[in-house]
Amino acid sequence: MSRRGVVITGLIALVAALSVASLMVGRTPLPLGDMLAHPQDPLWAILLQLRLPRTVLALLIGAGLGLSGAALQGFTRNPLADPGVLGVSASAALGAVLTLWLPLAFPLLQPLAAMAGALAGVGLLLALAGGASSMTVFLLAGVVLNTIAGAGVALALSLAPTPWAVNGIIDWLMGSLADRSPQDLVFAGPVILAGLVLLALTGRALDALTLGEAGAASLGIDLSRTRVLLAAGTALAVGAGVAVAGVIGFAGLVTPHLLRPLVGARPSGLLWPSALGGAAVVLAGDLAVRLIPSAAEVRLGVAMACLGGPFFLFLLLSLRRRLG
Amino acid sequence: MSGLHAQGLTLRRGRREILAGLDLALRPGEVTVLLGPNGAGKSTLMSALAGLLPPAAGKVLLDGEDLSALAPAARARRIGFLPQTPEVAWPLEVRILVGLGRIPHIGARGLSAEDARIIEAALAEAGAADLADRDASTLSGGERARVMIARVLAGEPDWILADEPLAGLDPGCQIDAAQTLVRRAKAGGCGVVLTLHDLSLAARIADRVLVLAEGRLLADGPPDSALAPPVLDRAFGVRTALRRGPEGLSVDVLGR
Repeated sequence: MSRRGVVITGLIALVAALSVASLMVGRTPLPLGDMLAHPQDPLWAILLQLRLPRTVLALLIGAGLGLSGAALQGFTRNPLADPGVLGVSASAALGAVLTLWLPLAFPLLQPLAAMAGALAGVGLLLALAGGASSMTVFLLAGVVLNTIAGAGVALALSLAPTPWAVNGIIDWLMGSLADRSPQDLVFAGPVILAGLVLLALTGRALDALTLGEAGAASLGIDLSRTRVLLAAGTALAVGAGVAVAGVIGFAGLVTPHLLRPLVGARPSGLLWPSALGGAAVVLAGDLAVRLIPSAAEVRLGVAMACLGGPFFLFLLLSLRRRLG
Repeated sequence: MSGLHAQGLTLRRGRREILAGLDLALRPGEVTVLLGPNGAGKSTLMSALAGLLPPAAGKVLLDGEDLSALAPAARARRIGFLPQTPEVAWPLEVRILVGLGRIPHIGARGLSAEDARIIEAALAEAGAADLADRDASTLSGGERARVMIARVLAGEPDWILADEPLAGLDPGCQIDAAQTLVRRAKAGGCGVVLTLHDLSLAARIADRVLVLAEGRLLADGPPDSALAPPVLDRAFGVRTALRRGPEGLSVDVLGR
């Protein structure tokens, strides 16, 4: 088996192990042996109604973050790109927050608004960066997007009509997977999967982009198609994740970096391993917040940011050395 | 009508006209060198001939067929393009980088044994076989030039358009790289178009020289006529002497 095959097999095993752990760990211990003997045991409800949606959502959201991070890094040829750094997650959060001021309300309004925000964010990002997708321009466009979305959310916080609204906004900002319902999974799951498929279709174009935009175009790559796939895929995978779990950062940034030395730097070869790796990172983070002994559960988004900040710093230092 | 033709080719950037109604007929099996001062429109012409920049007016024809009507992959199988200062964004193994040249041929499938054979042959032809296992981001300028040429050769195009492929190389590397491309033209029947700044190198390797200035062709013909001192004076504003020695033509630049 190739080295990449070994890594992928290992990642699948890791995700499976973390998923089982995620199903088992929580405030209520689940004695699986007893439960199997008693199919009517109310503990089954905890497993299927509470733990299962949480686990599957962590897996899918992590896969979406990892895959979109790898695809965005490939497209921008920029190792610092990720849906959080480039402002896509913040745009999704702003979309959700803005619904508090809308006079209408229907069940899927907030998730749909989050996805619309993500789509607007990616669209704006690609438009701002234009054809000249240089590393600097893309990162600056991300700074602009994060600033705009951050200002919008801060404004919403300070003008919040009710204390509930404040709590709701904080929920979007500090992502969490606690107490997600099966409905959340039924809504977000298929959307994230669709996003993963669109992102995976960019592999060949991302490889060609290693040679720059002119090089890729000369190899017959349709770059506008790649842009559309990337924008739609990121908006679906990240937007749906933010819609049900709020902003969870850094998984998309960290995962491709950890995997590049293991599976090689070819962008298409990095896509699926990054999806698996992102799933493992978010599952592990969500397990950690449940295991940390504290009165209230630490929010997953906050925990990821606490881990991601130092990693970002480390990345910057190593890049600075390489870029001179 | 075989060959690569431009008819009334016009390109604008904003309101400025970069190419002003150019007519050209390039033949396969020939090495054509495109010369001109900085900003003359050489890179724009190369991109347009490769089908990467849509013309504002006029057209580029490949064997009589309008280039803009060809599907991108079909065009890419027939025209290989080497951009100026080629980028290598990721630390890829050289063999994988050269394999990117097969993208127009493989579509959605992976590389076959036949593709792998073509990649190895291209590496050998460009004198880059010993680099195959190296990390492409650690190559020297000369090594990178060889690898980039191997990448174009791996696509087995009918036409190779290379924008300053020899810039920044030492004389030995320049000769090696130029000879690889000349060989493809002579033995492989490939049409090769290069932009260069070295007038003597142009005189030595070109079957045909185009001199471009301010978006127009000042000369189009064999080196001994296109590199005549009056042409180079008009194009570059320099005094030159065209010498014919036992090793062929050379151009001495004497001064302003």
